[in-house]
Amino acid sequence: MTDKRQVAMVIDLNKCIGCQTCTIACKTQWTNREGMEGMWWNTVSTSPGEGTPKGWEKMGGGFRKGKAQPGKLPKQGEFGTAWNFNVEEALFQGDKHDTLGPIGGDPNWGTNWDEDIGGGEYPNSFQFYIPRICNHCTKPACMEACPRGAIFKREEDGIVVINEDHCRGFRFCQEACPYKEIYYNTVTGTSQKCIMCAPRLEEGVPTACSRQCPGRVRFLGFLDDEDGPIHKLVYKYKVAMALHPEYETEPNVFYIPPLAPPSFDEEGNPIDEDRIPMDYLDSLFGPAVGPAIDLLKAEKAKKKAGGESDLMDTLIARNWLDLFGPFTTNPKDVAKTLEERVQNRQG
Amino acid sequence: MSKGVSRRNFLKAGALAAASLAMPNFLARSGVSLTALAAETPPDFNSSLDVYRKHWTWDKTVRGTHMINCWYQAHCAFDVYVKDGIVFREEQAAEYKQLRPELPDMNPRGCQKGCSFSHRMYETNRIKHPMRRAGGRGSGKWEQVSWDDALNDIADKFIDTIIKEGTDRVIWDLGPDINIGAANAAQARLAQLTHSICLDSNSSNGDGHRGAFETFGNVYMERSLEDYFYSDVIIIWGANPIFTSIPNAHFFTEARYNGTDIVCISPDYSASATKADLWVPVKPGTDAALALAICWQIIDGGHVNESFVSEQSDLPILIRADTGKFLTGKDLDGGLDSTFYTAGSDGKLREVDRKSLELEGYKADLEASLTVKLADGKEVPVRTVYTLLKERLSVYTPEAVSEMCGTAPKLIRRLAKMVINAKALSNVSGSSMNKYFHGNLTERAMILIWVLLGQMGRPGSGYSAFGFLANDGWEDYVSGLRIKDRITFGTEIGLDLMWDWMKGETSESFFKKLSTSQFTDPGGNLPIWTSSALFWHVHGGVSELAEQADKWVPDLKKPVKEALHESLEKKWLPLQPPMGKHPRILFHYCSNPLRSVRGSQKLTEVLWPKLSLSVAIDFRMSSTAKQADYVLPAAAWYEVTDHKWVTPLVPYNHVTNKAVEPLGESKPDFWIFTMLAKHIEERAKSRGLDVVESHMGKEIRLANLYQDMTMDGRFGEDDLDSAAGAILEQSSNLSHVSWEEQKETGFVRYNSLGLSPLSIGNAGDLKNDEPFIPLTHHIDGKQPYPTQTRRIQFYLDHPLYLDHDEHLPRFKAPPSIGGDYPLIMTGGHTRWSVHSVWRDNALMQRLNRGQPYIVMGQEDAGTRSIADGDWVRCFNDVGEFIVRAKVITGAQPGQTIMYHSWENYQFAGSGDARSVSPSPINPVELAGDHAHLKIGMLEGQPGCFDRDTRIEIEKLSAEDSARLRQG
Amino acid sequence: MRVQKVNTIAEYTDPAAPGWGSVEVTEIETIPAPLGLQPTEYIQVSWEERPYGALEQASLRAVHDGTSIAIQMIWEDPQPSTGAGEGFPDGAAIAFPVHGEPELMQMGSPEAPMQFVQWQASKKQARSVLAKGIGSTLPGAAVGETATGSWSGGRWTVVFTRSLAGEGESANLVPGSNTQIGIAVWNGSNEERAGIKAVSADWTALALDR
Repeated sequence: MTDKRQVAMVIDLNKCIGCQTCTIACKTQWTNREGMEGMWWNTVSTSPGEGTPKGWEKMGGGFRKGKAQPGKLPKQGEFGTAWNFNVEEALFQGDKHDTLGPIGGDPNWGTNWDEDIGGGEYPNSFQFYIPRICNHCTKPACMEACPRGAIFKREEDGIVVINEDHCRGFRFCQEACPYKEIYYNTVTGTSQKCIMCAPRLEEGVPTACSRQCPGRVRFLGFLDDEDGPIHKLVYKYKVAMALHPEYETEPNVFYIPPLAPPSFDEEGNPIDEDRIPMDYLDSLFGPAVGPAIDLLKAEKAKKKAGGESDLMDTLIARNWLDLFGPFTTNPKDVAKTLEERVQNRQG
Repeated sequence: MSKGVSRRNFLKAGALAAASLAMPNFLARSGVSLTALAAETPPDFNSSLDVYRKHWTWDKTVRGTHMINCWYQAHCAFDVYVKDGIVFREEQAAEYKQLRPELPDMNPRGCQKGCSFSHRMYETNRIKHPMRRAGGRGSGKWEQVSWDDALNDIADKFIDTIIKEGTDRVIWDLGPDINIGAANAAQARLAQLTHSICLDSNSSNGDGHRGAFETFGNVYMERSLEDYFYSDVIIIWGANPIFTSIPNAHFFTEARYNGTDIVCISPDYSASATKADLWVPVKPGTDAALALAICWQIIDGGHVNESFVSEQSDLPILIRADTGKFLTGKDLDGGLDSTFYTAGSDGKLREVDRKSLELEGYKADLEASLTVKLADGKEVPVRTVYTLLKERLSVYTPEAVSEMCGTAPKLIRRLAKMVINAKALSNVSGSSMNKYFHGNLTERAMILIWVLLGQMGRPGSGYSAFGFLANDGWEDYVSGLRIKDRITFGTEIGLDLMWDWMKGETSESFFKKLSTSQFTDPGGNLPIWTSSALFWHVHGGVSELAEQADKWVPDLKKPVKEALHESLEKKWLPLQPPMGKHPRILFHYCSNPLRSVRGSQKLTEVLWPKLSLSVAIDFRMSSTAKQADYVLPAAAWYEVTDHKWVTPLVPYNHVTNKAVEPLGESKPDFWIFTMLAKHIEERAKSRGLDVVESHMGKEIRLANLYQDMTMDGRFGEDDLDSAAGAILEQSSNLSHVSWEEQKETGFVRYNSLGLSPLSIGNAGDLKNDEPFIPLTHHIDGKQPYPTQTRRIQFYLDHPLYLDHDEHLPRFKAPPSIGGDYPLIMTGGHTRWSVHSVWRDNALMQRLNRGQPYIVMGQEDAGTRSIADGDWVRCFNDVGEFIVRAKVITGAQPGQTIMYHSWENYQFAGSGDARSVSPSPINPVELAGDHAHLKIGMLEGQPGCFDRDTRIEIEKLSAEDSARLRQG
Repeated sequence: MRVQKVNTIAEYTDPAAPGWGSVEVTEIETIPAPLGLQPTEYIQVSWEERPYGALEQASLRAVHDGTSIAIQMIWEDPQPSTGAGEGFPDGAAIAFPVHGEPELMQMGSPEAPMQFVQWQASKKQARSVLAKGIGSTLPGAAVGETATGSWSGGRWTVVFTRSLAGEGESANLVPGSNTQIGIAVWNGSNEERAGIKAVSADWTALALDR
């Protein structure tokens, strides 16, 4: 009998550089099939900003005091349209005045439209990147909402999966998910979302977004692994926390909140005030964020003074594979075919 | 497990749900999924996830990489996944070894662009067949032709040109993506066998690191990434590594957790600034003032590392007060003008040792001031460089500098204190400063900080300029595997170099000389290079745009064009073909000058009409390919086996293996160059031509060209793999691992810098188990620097520098290039492309905005009633372009940012981002008749500048937008 | 509701087939499917304040030819929705009990399943569906089901057909005997889908002519 376990992820916003390699890794891994062109199961948005889909934090869903909350159905245009370009005309047929651009005219929104716009006023501008995937919640609002029971949470790893054979495209899940992490495939007529790279995890390989992240931003592992970095960061040091815990779905993706350089007074002198307003961080991560930031600063100061810090060493993760708990297999070493993989399991 | 079983489970889930309406469903369902079954045979291989499981299967993987120059962030080993003859995915190999337990490893090297090359290579803009222009240039009318027809026609024109006008009329326009591997070796070999001209594009890319060159006589100095972990202060200055060094960035964020302070100095609150412990905003182009303020705090506070500067730098060397020139042996006793002097506290002169930096206990007086009697009897006061420097720097107080650069005095002091107190200080090198007109002054001022503090050559400590690390077998291959013989057996250059060696010259100087010779007279069998910046300015007509430069740059001594012509006429700088001899054939290889050259609108107007033939060799349709006569389809990087140069940041040779057959009729570059040689030979023979003479008098064996090209058949057009291997076997720094093994592993650590002129300047020991630190051969080994004084040199007594008051580091305000307009158009490399290779890629654009945009701050947008996404016109005295505006919070008022590398054809209307950048030459960079200010590979050439460009931006009405967008 | 016997239903598959004019009309009243029976709390909460199932009745006619049955259903819908792209399609279904006494509102039960034929404006083909309770629907046994819809003048006319015979877990319709029929209508422009629909409050008796 397998124990109920939960795979979890900690994303370090101090290491995230907004490069979108995770986004692309996911795209080339799963969403390069028909009807999925506009899907980004992994996104990275600049915060503050509208995010993806546009204005998702104002779209509702999730629970309040345990009760499901109505949500808005996000539309493709809000996620960002997968523009196609007039390549043939502009490059192989056109004269020099033909402009290559999105077919259908000037776009006014896209998946990453708000990139690097940020908030505040120069020179006290502020911004940071937030990567997001499905949170594989402990209390998945999507699963609760589905009238067909087509969404299930795997016992062995807590991954929340849409059974696409059973899904009828009703999209209550899209409305109910407060993170708006579910997409609708108009070709298949089904809802689709991040599968936490279940086929990779099954082979001991980290998720594409984790393994391919050059910023070494993502810790991966089982939440109950007390020796693992995730348990340490979430429970021991309490520096990793869910995004919008008030949505009550109990996400299993956690974030190390962002530090920033000092802000300036009116004369341009650096002052001790946080560049990223604490009430803004509170609105994202809840009241635990303040103590977490204080601890991160204190531990860095300790390191700078030549001291030891298990927290800082954990976050540094000098050995890259330490990020991934039990998932350390190189994908190229996995059996190439499904048949071989099934055989390996049975043998 | 049967499908039915699984279905029953879902039924059960459904039934439970219906029966428990009041209960939140997750409670009812969490025990229901596939629990029992999963326990028996996890995972469930018959679930709806099977579609995904099947999607992630493949036929084979090979090691690969991308033959592109992403410079600082380049060099990433990948596994390329192939299914059904198609590359369907790639993923980082991520097998770099951790050097030491206290250091982070390099995994997983790669970025979003590398991770989607499989998408790029199959996009519609891939060129699949040889194409010949069927209408006017740029008409967009093409006909598909056979390789035979294309190569025959090109060969005929090639022969016509060299016999009628000379071999120097054929130009290889080589862009930054040349690989110093077999593909590029074939091109270079063809160039050397035919004495045609290769363009060194580094200068027109604006990557010249002129300030480092002026100071060290060398631009090549870069650490390996792990070494940053030993720094306690890292300054990001003139760079934005969070955009442009994606796989390197974790070393900075992790060092920050390790206690290192990260400082970012930039006008805008850049992505890199967000990762800093201290962000120092500075007005664009005024960084030299800030640097000199720090230098003054160092000097004024008594923090100068006197033993370091006395030994390593020219600061103790004596300068004549009357001429402002170094006091030389020639002045004193009719000796050598390469003999320089310091003075001790006893007032006695001492010759600067040219063979070693070792002072053996001698103490020079840094502030010596005395009068010496010259050979002609004249008595002149002399003072040290340090004394003059100190005098000059005394004006750079924090308060005064604040007026120049906009940084608050308190912040300047805080920054200076951090820098002075640093135990190990390093910088993150980028190439932004080179793109400012006075970027050389800025870089000299920055280097001065490190030198005054002696922050060099130790773990985590040192100034990085320009990274390059290459195999040293390439030149051998290009010259027919004969170079070592040539040097040993004493041809002219061999004798010359032997004489240098006897004089005590370093091997660094030795190879620098070889590098310089390739621009003037490369001898028998190396290719001839010329500076691309000079080429585009003179032959391309770009200098015509700078005719108003004296209005823009306040202290020009003469018009830029006049200064340029003087330099060329006096042969300070070599140009091939010389002024007045028109280029006739351009081969664009890894190059896209109509996109990249500042002021490129002049090229189609001035240069293209002179051309009888323009050939673009590429895998995708570039702005330049659109204007070509022939477009030859090159194989993409997963379709060839080859290797490429790296930098010391990641000191591993990287190999790509052929994963799939080239798409359509595309061919490896190596094949194209070899076959071109074959066709030239055939056409020459059919015309009865045998040998013709090059413009330098070399015999060009046209009738034996293919035989010579292939080294008597050893490396035919299909022998790319073995040619690539042969280069490594010839390499002193890579032959320790067999080619077969290198292909298998995809990356191999260099075992030394080797002898390539592109690497040797790093002057350090590259070891297997520790980070690389540059310049230790100088700092620990006391080897002299390849400069005039053989020291790190801050004083330049060249007349051009004296005339422009740039003989010592100083601050000059950025000129108003393009006219008197209120906004400065800075730029930067984008995270979304490397050069233009991914700029029009649909995946990248879907994560960007699909169209070019200019970045501006809220205040500047507000006063112009411009909202995010509006169409705007950007203009100055030189030109205009239209784009959309992107309004951000982090741009400094007065600053706009035009991120790099949009293709011309992505701009609506007729202009593009280059149209407003005339890029006048900085006259001091025309120096060439000097002991170390002379041309060399990738260095010592005039730069190109677009960061000082002034513009105005206005919002376009709907009608204007529609009209202008029609072009 | 009577199902008249005709020579062949082939003449009735077109929604506008003239033959329908002479077939007796039965009005079946519909109500919004009760919110309390919506299978998930989310659906209940999100439709609490939102009107749906506003249709009050549909007009049905039915004929059979001894082998197959054709049922024409007409209802008012001023704003048709074909469900193109991301839209939700208009839809309709006719349901029959398989065995036992299924509760129509509960979509049957494991002991008493029901089968229905569903038409959606977004699809060319009808679907046979088996239901054993709310949220439990699965593909039903093939019964030669077809459905053709046409919208004009502010209303949909849809003709469903299926074979009379049904084996195993499918409703078997026998000429000369009685069964029951229920209907459901989804208004796509109101984002109606799944249990958010108008339904007949209970079964209507269906008598097949011999």
